[in-house]
Order: sequence, then structure tokens, then C-alpha cells
Amino acid sequence: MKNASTTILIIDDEPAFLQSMADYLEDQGFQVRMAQNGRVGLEVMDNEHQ
Amino acid sequence: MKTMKKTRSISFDLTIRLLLATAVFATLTIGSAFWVIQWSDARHHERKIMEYLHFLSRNLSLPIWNYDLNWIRVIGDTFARNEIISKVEIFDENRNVLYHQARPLQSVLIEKEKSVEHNGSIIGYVRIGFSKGFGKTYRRELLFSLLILVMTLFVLAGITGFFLRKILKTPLNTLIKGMDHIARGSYVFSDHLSDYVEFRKILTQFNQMAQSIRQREQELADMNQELSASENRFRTLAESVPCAIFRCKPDSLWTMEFIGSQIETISGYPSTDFIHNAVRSYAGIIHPDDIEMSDKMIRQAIEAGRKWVVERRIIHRDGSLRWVYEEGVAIRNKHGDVSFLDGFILDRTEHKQTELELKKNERHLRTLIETIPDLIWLKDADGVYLSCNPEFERFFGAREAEIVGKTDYDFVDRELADFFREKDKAAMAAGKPSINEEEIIYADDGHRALLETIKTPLYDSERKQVGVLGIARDITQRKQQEEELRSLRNYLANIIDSMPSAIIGVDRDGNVTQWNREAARMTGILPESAAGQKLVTVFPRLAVEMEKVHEAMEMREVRSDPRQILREANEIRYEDVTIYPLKANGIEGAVIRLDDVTGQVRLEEMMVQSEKMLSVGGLAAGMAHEINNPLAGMMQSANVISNRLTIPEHPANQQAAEEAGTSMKAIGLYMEARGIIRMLNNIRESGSRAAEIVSNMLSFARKSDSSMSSHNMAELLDRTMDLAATDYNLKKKFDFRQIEITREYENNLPLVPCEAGKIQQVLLNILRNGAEAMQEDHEKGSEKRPRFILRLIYERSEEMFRIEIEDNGPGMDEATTRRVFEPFFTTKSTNSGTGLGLSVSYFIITENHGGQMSVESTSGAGTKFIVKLPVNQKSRMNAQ
Repeated sequence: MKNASTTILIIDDEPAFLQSMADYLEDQGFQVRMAQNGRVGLEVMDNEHQ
Repeated sequence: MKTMKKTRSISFDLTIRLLLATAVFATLTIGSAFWVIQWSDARHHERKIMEYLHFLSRNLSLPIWNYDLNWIRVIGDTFARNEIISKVEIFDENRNVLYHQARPLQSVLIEKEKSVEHNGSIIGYVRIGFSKGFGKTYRRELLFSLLILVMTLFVLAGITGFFLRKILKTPLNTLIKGMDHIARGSYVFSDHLSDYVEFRKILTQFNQMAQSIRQREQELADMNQELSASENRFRTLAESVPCAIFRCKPDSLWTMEFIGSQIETISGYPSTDFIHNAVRSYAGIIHPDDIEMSDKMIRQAIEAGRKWVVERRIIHRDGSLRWVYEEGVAIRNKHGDVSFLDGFILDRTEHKQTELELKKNERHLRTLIETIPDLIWLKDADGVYLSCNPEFERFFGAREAEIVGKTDYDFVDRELADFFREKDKAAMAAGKPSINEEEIIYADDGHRALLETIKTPLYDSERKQVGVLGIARDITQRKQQEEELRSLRNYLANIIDSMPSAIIGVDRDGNVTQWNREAARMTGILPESAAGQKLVTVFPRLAVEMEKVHEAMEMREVRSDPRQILREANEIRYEDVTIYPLKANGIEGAVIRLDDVTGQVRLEEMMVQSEKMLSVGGLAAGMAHEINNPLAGMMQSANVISNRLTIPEHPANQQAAEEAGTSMKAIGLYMEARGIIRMLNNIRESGSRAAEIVSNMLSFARKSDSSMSSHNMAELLDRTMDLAATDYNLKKKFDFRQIEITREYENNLPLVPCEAGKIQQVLLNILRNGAEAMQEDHEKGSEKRPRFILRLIYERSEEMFRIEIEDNGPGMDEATTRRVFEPFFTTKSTNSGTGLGLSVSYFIITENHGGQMSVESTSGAGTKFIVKLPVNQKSRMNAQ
């Protein structure tokens, strides 16, 4: 998949919206990471780069 | 009463007196004879004793010198034998007794002493005393002869008395008898009394006297009769005059000799009380304050020989004060001394009271005229001054005495004098008071004054004109005040007239007293025609307020009736009615104020409305934001589900299906069979509808001028009309071209800064709503041809651009009109609208553009939407 190497981080406080967006993007072939808020989002990014 | 005298007889008296006279004469004679004898005896004795002494002294000279006591004794004894000598004493020069011989029991009558001398020197003294027995015989003879003389005299007196008695008694008795006759009134008298010539004379005289007495008696009797008649006359007169006539002594008590009985009427005391001060004196009833002064006046008048007149008060028996008038003259005797005061007393109490009253009245009148600040004067028919008051004196600058007798020409210039005279004549010609105003200058201090003068013709008792009475009042100040009052009244009237409220004054009976310009404008009745009319006649719709008007007047409280609804032509107006009670200056009534508060009411409604809209808008926007996220999640999930179920080429799908032991084809068939794709589509469509609503709701709160630009509103409106036509055609199968469009656009309209898309959305909304309403109306069988009137107006004063879109659809009732902009409020059937169109429009105009949006509608007569947009930035800011 052309997008398989790309990872997208989604941050939203609405869990239903977060999940559905993640589902959609996974279907498009993206690697998806999710976070409920900005702080968690930063932590996720830190983990990704290690 | 006469004391009885002892009866005495002339002859007895005469005899006694003769005897007494004889006795006195005899005594005197004897006395003097005795005295003469005594005297000559004494002389004789003295001479004799001196002779004896002389002889003795000569004889004794030698024996004493020789101190021959025997001799001395012989000489002494010799002398002592002489019987008349009762005592002999001889002394030496040193008063030593040489010889002493005295007869006892014989008193010494006379005693003498002589010195004994020898050769010129005293060598002793000799003293001899004579006894009383000397000369006794000689006296006895004398006394005897005297006794005989006295006896003779007594006898003579007795005889004389007897004869006198004899001669006098008879004629005296006759005389007594005659006198008795006269005393008994008979004047006939015997012509024989005695033969003596003395008695004849007496008889003649006596008869003459009787005659004259008889004559005088007759005269007296006549006179008495006359006097009594006269006295009667005077008494009647004295009693019948209306005053008390009196005669009194000129003493301080006014001791009355006579006083008329009228004094009882005057003083309350009977006249007998006063006569000789029997009970009281007249002075005693005179008021103590008056007596001194009035008596002084009387005395002065008497002294000056004038008649006196006084008025004074007396104290009546009942204690009241009476004024009496007294007049009288002094009666003098021939020496010029005042013997009586004759006069009369008149009760003048009533007269005096009237007089005092009159005097008081006159004084009051005079004071009135003098203190009155008006000018008062009196002229005769020829314009000559008769009198004037002090204020008038100031005008002429002269005293009344100088003015009287002169005319106006003597004091003021000819022109003014002519003017005065002309007015005098006018008043006299008219025969009634004439009033004029004149400006004059006071002569005393030169100040100017505007006078209002009233000239009244004067008449005498025969109704003949005799002059003019003038009264003038300084009205300078009054004029000024009137002027001020007039301008104040005008000012107040202007204030009242310039009020935007109708102000109507009414009196107690409901008659109009005040009617301002606004009231006139409202009713079309001018103030002049309204004044005095019944309020209900000139302002019929206030009839309902009359009860409150009366209530306000009774209770003295303000009554008000706010927000009265007036239905005019096709408009509802609001009016506040306030009723104020009037109680100033005793004038009762009320003032009714009518305020047109339509604008205010509308504004208030609008404010309520916008407040409501704002809160609703805020709520809706908040809600939309909260709904938006889960909605997005739902829709996204539906999309993913759809993708995962309907895209067989997707490797993840294929892989998952294979791992599950099925194929994408089988899944596709299953979903087709169970209508899952349709359901998913349904979810998506519902979601997007909800999303649209939410996005609309979000615009409630959004404020953005990012895409503002100036637009020609006419163009924008026309373009929107075209859009609406196509849009409508497409969706509702309604021929928009059937609708008649009337455009009323002003010329030279300015450009309007706005977000064109948003404004188009608003206009479209309005047009769509109108079209739908008219269509509904049409479907219900209305014969009216659908019509839009589009107006574009620039309101220069507010710098607002006004867009009006008016339809002739069914219109809305008031309740609907009020809620038409509320979100989710709709009258359409549930599935044909969201109820957000107009509220979105409202917020676009008010929140996004700072404009105003309102609707006016009457049920059955169509609806008019009004959108106002600010033309420049400044006004827009203001509007916000």
C-alpha cells in the first residue's frame, strides 16, 4: 500500500469520532495512532520516535 | 321755742333801781367822805408827830450828849403819858436802846423817827408811834349824819316808784290792749289814752303806724298773690322743660337752692336729695376725672362775666356714665359778689354718643383717605381743587392748602392740564365714572408713574353736578407684573404646546379648561372651540376615563391607565393616560395627559424579543457544538462501515473476509438481501441533515466580517429572485413566475457593505417563506394573485439601508408574528421545514451585520419583512 509507511496521529476528545476517523484512515492504508488530548498526543509521538 | 321770761313790772323795777341807785350814791358819798376824813386825819397825825419828834429831839440833845439816862427817862415818860402816843423809843448813835415805853394792846397807827443832833452831829435817834384810838369820836359823828342822809334817799325813792307806777300803768295797759287789737288784725284804736301830752303823741304815732301797717299788709297780700301766681308759672315751666333748671351756691359742692325734678331722670336721684345737699351734693355725682377741669372752666367764665357752658360726665344711680350739658350764669348781688349760679342741666348722653361716633367715623374716614396709597382729590365743576390727600400732594409737590382753590393749569403743563380737564368733562358728561390710564411725573421726587384714574361726577342733593371726584392708583408695577405674567403665560403655554403629549385640563364638572396643541392635533378640534366644552363631547374616547378623573379629584391622587390600546385604521397604537388632580389656588379640577407610547411599546417588545433571541441563539450555538462531534463520529463510522462492506477490492476487506471463511461477494449478497446498504445510506443522510442543522445553528453565534464587501443591493436582490425562482421550481413544482413582482427601488441607492452569500441566504429565506405562504393560500382557494412588493429605501437620518419584502399571503396573527424568528418555530407541517430559516436569517442580519430585522403582519392581509443594514462602518458599529 502506497500509504503504509505513513503514520497519522489523531487527537480528539470525542472517542466515537476518534475511533471512526481511525477506522477510516486505516482503511486508506495509513498507520494510525490516537490520543484523547494533546498531552497524550505528545507522549504518543515521543514513543513513535524512540 | 321761746324761753319764758320772768314776769316783771315797770314800777317794781323802777323802785328797785331807784333804791339801788340811792344805795350806790349813798355808799359812794359816805365812802368819799370817810376817805377825805381819813386822809386829813393822816395829814394831821403826821404834822403832829413831826412836831412831837422835833420837840423831843431838841429836848433830848443835851441829855443824850451827856448820857443822862434819868433825864432821858423823865422826858420819855412825860411824852408817853400823852394818850395818843402809844410808843416812845430813844436810841444812842449806835442804836442802843436808851429808853423804851410802849402801851400794850394798842396797835400802832403811825410811827416816825428822827435823829438827835448836837453841834451838827448825830448823837442818837428818837421814835414815836401814835395809837389808833386817836380821832374815833370825831368819825362816829360823821357816820351818823351820813346814815340819816341815806335813809332820806331811800324813802324818796320809794315814793317816786309809787307815783310812777300810778301814772304809767293805766295808759300802758290801754296801749297793750291796742297792740293786741293790731295783732288780731283790727286797726281801729281808742283815741283816749291819757291826758298826758307824752301819751297823746304816742297815740297819734301809734294810730299812724297801725294805718300804715294796714296799708302795707294789703300791699303785701296783693304782692304775695302775684308772687304765688308767678312762682306757679315758673314752677310749671321749670318742670316742663326737658332739662333740670337749678340755682346753686357758688361753692365747690354746687349746693342746690333749687333744682328741677328732671334731675331724677338725668341722675336717678330725686331733686330733694340735692337741695341744700340734703342727701348728696351735685358735685358728688360728677365724674372725678371731669370735675376739676370743668369747674375751672366755670370759674373762669364767671370771673370773665360770661355765661358758662360745660359738658361733663356724671355717674348715674345705676352706675352708668351720662354726659350732661350745663349752661348758666352767675347772679351777683349789688356789691358785685356772686350770690348764686343759675343754670340748667341737659342729658346729652345719646347726643354725645352720636357725636363721638360721628367724630370717630370722621376720623376713620380722614385716616382712610390720608393713609390710602392712592391719589384722591376733589374738584368743582370748573376744575378748581376743593380737597386732596397727601399722596396727591406728592404729585403736585404742594400742600393741600396751596392746591385748594387752584386748577391743574397752576401745577402741570398746559397739555397735561388740558388732558385732565378733558377727562373731568368726559366723566361729567357721561354722568358716570370714567376710567383712563395716564403717565405722570411726581413733582416731589420726579419719579414716573403710570396711573389708573377713575373720575366720578359728584352730585348735590338736588342731583346737580357739583364737581368731580378723582381716584388714581399707581399701576406701574401692576402693568409690569401683567406684562411678566403675560410672557410667563405664553412661555408656559408654549411649553405645554410643545409637549409631545396631549395635555387637557378639566374643571370639576368635566369642562375643558386647557387644550394643548397635541390635543388639538389628535382630535382636530382647536383649543378655542374645545374650551368650556364637555370633555366627552370633544374627546369621546376619554369617556371611559371620566370615572378616574372624578376619582383623582376626590382622592387628590394621581390616577393612571397605562398602555391603552387604540385601534386605528390598520395599526395598533398604545397610549398612557395619566390623570393629575389640580388643587392649586382653590381651583379644583384635573389635568389629563395622553402619551403616545406606541414607539416605546414596540421598542420594549423588540428588546424583549432580541434578548430572547440572543439567549436562544447562544443556547443553540452551544448545543450545536456539542452535537457536532458525536454526529461527525457517527457519520464517519457509517462511512467506514459502508466502505468495509461494499468495496470488495480493498485488500484488508478481502483478507478479513477470507479469514472469516467467507467472501466479499457473499457479504455483498447478504447485505443486499437484508437492505443494509440502504440503512447505511439512511444513517448517512440523517446524519448529514442533522449536520446541516447544527451548522446553521452554529451561525447563530458566529460573528465574522471577514468576507464583507460593498454590494449593490438592487442587483443582489434581483439575483436572489432568479435563484429563488429556479430553486423553487426545482423543489416544489411551483411556478414562481406566476408571482407578480413589484419593485419600488429608490434612486441613487448607496452600496451596502455585507457578506453577499449570507444576505442572499436571508433574502432567499424570506422569499421562499412568502412564496410558500402564498401558495398555501392559493391552494386554499384564495382568489388573490400572489404578489411581492420589493422596496429598497435608504434612510438617511439613520444611515440605514432598508429592504422591505411584502407579500399578500394569509399573514400571521400577533402571536405568530412575535415568535416567527425563534429557532425551531414553524407553522409548516413537520416534515417541510426545520424552523431555522428565519432565525438563521435574523442572526445573520443582527449578529453578523449589525442590522435589524423585523416583521409586520396582519392576519389575512399579508406579511412584510423589513431588513435594515448599516450603510457605513460607523453606523454599523453604533447599531451594534
